[in-house]
Amino acid sequence: MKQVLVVFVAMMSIGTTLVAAADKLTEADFYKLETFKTPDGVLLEAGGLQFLPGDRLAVSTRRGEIYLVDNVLADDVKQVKFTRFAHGLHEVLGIAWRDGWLYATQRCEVSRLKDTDNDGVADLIETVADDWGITGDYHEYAFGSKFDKDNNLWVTFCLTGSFTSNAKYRGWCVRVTPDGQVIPTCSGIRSPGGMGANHVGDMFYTDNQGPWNGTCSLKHLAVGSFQGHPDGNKWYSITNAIGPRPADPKSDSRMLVEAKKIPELMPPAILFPYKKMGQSAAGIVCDTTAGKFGPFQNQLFVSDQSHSTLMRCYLEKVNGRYQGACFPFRQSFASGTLVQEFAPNGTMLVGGTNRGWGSRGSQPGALERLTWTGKVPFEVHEMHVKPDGFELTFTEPVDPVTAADPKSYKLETYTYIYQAAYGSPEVDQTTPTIERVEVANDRRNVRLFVTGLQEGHVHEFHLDALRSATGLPLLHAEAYYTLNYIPAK
Amino acid sequence: MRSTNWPVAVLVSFCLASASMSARAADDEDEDGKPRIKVGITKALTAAPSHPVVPGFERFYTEAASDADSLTAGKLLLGELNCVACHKADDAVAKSLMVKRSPILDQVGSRARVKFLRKFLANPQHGKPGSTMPDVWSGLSDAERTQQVESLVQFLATTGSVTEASASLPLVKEGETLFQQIGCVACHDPIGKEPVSLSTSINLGHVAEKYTIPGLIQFLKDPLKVRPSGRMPAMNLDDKKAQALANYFLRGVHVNLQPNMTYQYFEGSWDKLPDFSALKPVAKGEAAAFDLHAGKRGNNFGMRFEGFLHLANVGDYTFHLGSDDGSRLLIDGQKVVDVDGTHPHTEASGKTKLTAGPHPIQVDYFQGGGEWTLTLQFESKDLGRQEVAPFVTLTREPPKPPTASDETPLVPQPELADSGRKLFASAGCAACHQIKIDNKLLASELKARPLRELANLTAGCLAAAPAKGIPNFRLTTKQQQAVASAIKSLAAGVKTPSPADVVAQTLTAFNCYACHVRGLVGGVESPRNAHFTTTMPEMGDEGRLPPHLDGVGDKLKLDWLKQVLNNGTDERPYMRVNMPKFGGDNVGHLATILEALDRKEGANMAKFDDVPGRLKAAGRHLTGDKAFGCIKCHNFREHKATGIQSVELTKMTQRLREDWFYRYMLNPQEYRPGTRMPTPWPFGTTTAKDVLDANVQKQQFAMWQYLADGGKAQVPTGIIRDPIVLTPTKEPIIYRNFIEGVNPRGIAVGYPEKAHLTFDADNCALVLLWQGDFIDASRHWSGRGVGFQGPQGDNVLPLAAGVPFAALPSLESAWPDKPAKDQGYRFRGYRFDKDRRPTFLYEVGSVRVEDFPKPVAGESPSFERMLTVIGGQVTGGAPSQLWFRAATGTKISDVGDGTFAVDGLLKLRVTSSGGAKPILRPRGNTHELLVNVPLASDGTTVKLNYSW
Repeated sequence: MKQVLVVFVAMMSIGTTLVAAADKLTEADFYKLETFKTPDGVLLEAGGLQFLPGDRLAVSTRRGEIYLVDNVLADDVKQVKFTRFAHGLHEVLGIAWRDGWLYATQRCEVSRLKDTDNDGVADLIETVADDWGITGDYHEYAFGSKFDKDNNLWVTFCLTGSFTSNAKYRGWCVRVTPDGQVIPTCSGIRSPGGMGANHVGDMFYTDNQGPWNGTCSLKHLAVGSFQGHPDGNKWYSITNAIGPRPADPKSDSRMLVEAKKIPELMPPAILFPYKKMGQSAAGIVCDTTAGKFGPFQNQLFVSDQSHSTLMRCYLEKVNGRYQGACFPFRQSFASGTLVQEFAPNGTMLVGGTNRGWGSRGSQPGALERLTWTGKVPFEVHEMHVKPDGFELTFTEPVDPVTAADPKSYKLETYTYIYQAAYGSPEVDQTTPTIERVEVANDRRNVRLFVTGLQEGHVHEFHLDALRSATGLPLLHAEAYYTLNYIPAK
Repeated sequence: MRSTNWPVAVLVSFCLASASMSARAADDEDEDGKPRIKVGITKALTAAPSHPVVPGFERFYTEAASDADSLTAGKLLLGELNCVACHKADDAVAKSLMVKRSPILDQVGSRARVKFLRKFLANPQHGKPGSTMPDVWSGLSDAERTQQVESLVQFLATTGSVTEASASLPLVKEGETLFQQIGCVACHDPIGKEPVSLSTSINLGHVAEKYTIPGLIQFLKDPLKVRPSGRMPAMNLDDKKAQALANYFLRGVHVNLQPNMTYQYFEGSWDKLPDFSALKPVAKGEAAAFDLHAGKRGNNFGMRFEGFLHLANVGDYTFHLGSDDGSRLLIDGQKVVDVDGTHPHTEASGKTKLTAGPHPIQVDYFQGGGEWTLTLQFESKDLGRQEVAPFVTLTREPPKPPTASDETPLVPQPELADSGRKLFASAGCAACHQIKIDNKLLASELKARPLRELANLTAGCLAAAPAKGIPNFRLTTKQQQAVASAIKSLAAGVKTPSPADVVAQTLTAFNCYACHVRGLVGGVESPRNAHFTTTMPEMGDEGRLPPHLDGVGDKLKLDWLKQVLNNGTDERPYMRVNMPKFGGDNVGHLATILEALDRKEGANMAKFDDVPGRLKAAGRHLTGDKAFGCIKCHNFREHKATGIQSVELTKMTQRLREDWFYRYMLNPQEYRPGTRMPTPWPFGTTTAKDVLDANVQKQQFAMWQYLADGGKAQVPTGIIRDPIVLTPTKEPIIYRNFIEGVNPRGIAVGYPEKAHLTFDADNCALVLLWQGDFIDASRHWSGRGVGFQGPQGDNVLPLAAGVPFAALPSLESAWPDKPAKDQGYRFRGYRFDKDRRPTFLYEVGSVRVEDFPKPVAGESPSFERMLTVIGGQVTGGAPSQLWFRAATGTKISDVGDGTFAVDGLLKLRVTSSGGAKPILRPRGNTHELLVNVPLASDGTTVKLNYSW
């Protein structure tokens, strides 16, 4: 007790002003969030965002409209101007731009739209591809990506009722080629919430807690992979595009146990612990702004519709597969965040909806922008797993005293049951030991030596005691590393 | 040592599954943060049990245990076996036990069959495996035993006799489903695809031998009446559910009923009831009411039943007639219910006022093929819902009390019954069982030493082979040891149990642990887990497993807690298992103990003196879809949420403590780990910043005040769907969505001219026309958008389903019905003209088609449709063999001028640029109107005028 008091008093005396200032720093000091007002009578349940030439933003909606928005990058958000480009489409959850056409992924088809007479409104809506099944179940969503390097669009199909695959390719990811071919690409999808590629063009999607998904996650759509929900695997019988049907996983098991038996089974790259990080993982965007959005270049930003937040994801490849860490990044969006997109100037545009599934952001729909203020938040920058622990890098130099103290790193692990029943609690909890810590000379890099790393577990860190060289606590003290594989020594 | 009988994997998986719940009891975590829930042991049995089965003992105390555990286990058995009924206990000891009283036998003769009584009394473990009743015939010869049993049976039979009824097939299926779903399998063996016999189950093998359907219905509706100690709780069954369950249990029991109706049997093939009066019956005779077995075969037959329905009172009677296939009920010659036609088992009801006394009753029935059923029940204020059969006779004479069954009727032997009565008192039956003869309680004459005087704890009832005259409970060694240990320990002194001990003792005795976890003990056993189901699978375990009880005394208001314990409840519409009624006398004491143990204060209970109406308005706003959106998941009174339909909101303030509600709402995860319930106030701040100065306490207070208005609270916005009628004014509106009656790839187009259509983009066909209002988008644009939406307007005309073009090798060829894509169809989208009217584009093989419907304004707006067919090759035929199908109908007639009338609904004028005349061809019961479309590189056009 005495010791605690001494430390407390010491802290009070050396850093009164600093600590007080740190207490007041919030996400808003680093990333400014502004909401666009939509015209009366327009409900912008944003499902897709795409920048067009001339800094125009196209926004597609769940009600099947597409708006072109001018002046989204103007200093004053009030200068924004909405023009309806199209309507009557079926819940557009993904738009992309190529060669003067706006491509839109609807529930029923991928279409492309053009304004041939330049009156500002699309007058030609061509069907590009529709070779998949749809039964009329409300859960049968289709999410579309941006173009890959071969000009394919990737499309993921939610299961019927999010449980079973009652029509062709429900629960699959397909690629739609420029000439409209539909190429089956991955199986095992349950209920996607968004798609996006990383900086090298590898495609990812988010899947949501439910059967065969203990919690929400970010998954890599490697060609030929099986993403974990076996009900859609019946469609291997009509295609040999990705080889024979993989073995069915055993229920009540663990992801890594099954992945060792089923080579096609792709463990989630990042698990988002339920309620801790979110409840409805959604859109994905990669920071390719070359620093215009801050220090998180090439990292992925993933939205959570329910919590109305953005999460930050750092990925690395171990054993040839992606895995990595997620961190809280920004909260308080006006509606349930569903999709995000970078403007050429590094501003992030974020669209949302809270229809059907409630969200902390209470607006029924929203378009917002998130701008880096130029200040660098003190955050864990990257996390790398090592054969004997972790390496953490930071956005700012760390205080060598707190950073070198193993007690500054609270670490526990757990995993989820891989099962046919809905979701999973956290199970198999362990508490690894942090044996020692080495702080690099530049004080931006900390090496943790850990005994008890657990393959297949989320490694949950709480770094509340850690301070920056200037005495600041982390803006977000939590980090969740999904450790599927421990690298060989 | 775990059981080797049960596969280890199952036990392991259960431990893993329940590890989650461990997180909730953070206070109980050890240094490693890994509390384990005590799940106990559940073994799979290969034979029926032959010792008294007390579920709590089997589950938690069959392993080697500590002294404290032995005492707890022994006390459990002393209570469940009611040892102190004979061995009088000191007050302090008696108070520390939770005694299970034996069934009340006042009217046992009207409940249990004589045949069962004989078997059960001769050897309780044979009659009812796992019974806690002892065998009281130790040391008697078989002959003596039979003699004693017969006298007891004679005595018990003086209390009444059973009523018989036949099982009804459709009810059996329903009962089976109920048994699997409503929670019976928490304590009884799971049935279904993988039935299993478990060590912790109360065996039900005897039910079919013991009961008749009416007797079982009566028992199931109010088990506490005859078994007051509530180990079998009341499942709060309505008449229909009790009947279904009883029918399920007695499905295999064949009952020979006395004929009480005349029947006529007919043979023939009908699709509705014929006039049997005009037909000659193949057979006739007397039969039990509505017994279809009187017929000779299982299909293509008819029956007419006639008799008299006897009513004691005048009143309104509702009759429920169900059958597969058709049937009709007549009373006093008047039709009361009609379920005619060919159909699966279908029930219909009819109400009529009837006088007291006999009424002629007639039921006509016919069966085509497949399943065959006939059920008739009626209900009135004084009778409830009952089978009609027992009230029907052959004549106007009132019915005699039915006595028939498949067993030899018992011939009353008063002398033997009298010696049975004496035996009931002397053998100790009366020590446990209440039985009143002439309203006088029969007292036990058995003398047994008081509990504290029992010194030799391997003698008497506890001996391996009890001596003559000593009851034999057939205890296992473990049970014997536990009882002995408890007797010894209690003799040394009684410790007043702590409140927490009393709770645990109660939850064990009543097997609450079969469903609930509290204090890291209990929860659904692994082999029963899959039988706990939900109507909302996306809720996960939260939607199907009963809630944990940690902190329940903190959560629930005392009055509500009492009500739940006294009467049971059904507050979770998504959960198939309901909380049954254990009875206030049995478990009511828990309410105040749980309150004292669990209750916490600590929420910010600030009160606000704003105008109450304004606060409530804010609460309503917060609840609705413009703020927190509670109604997206929670029902509000009779209004169902569009989401998972969770617990009704206006009940919250009746059930929950305000203090708990405020704390819970700030962090639901803390109280229910894994719950989907989000907090509207994450991190102590509000997500509704523009309401009540973003003051969290004030918002909580406002919501509570609002919800406390209960039935009077104004409905929040967003739960009742406001229509969103799309009305084209200047230009057409496209609505691509799930349209009723159309393939899921429907595209509806509404035109300002007030003629509208839907195009099927899968079959590339125009499939629906209508006039007036266009469509209501609210189904798809509110909530999750579930289902198909039909037109909002009038005069809705479905057109031919299927593809519009086909190559026909000859005019005899059938119109192809393969999926359009397999016929080479490719939908290519649509383009708009300057008035923003769409032209639909598609391909049939290499033939391109443009389909342009143009509305024509008028009092009755119509369509002029232009199809342009361009170039290409015809797949599967010569170029001259491409046909367009303009219409199909039961009756199509040429009314001149190229115009055809289709089924009196549509006038269709067809002109082709190729000059071909339309051809009308019959196809089975329908007609098709076809137009030949010769292919030309510059296009062929077909013009169609639709007037409907």
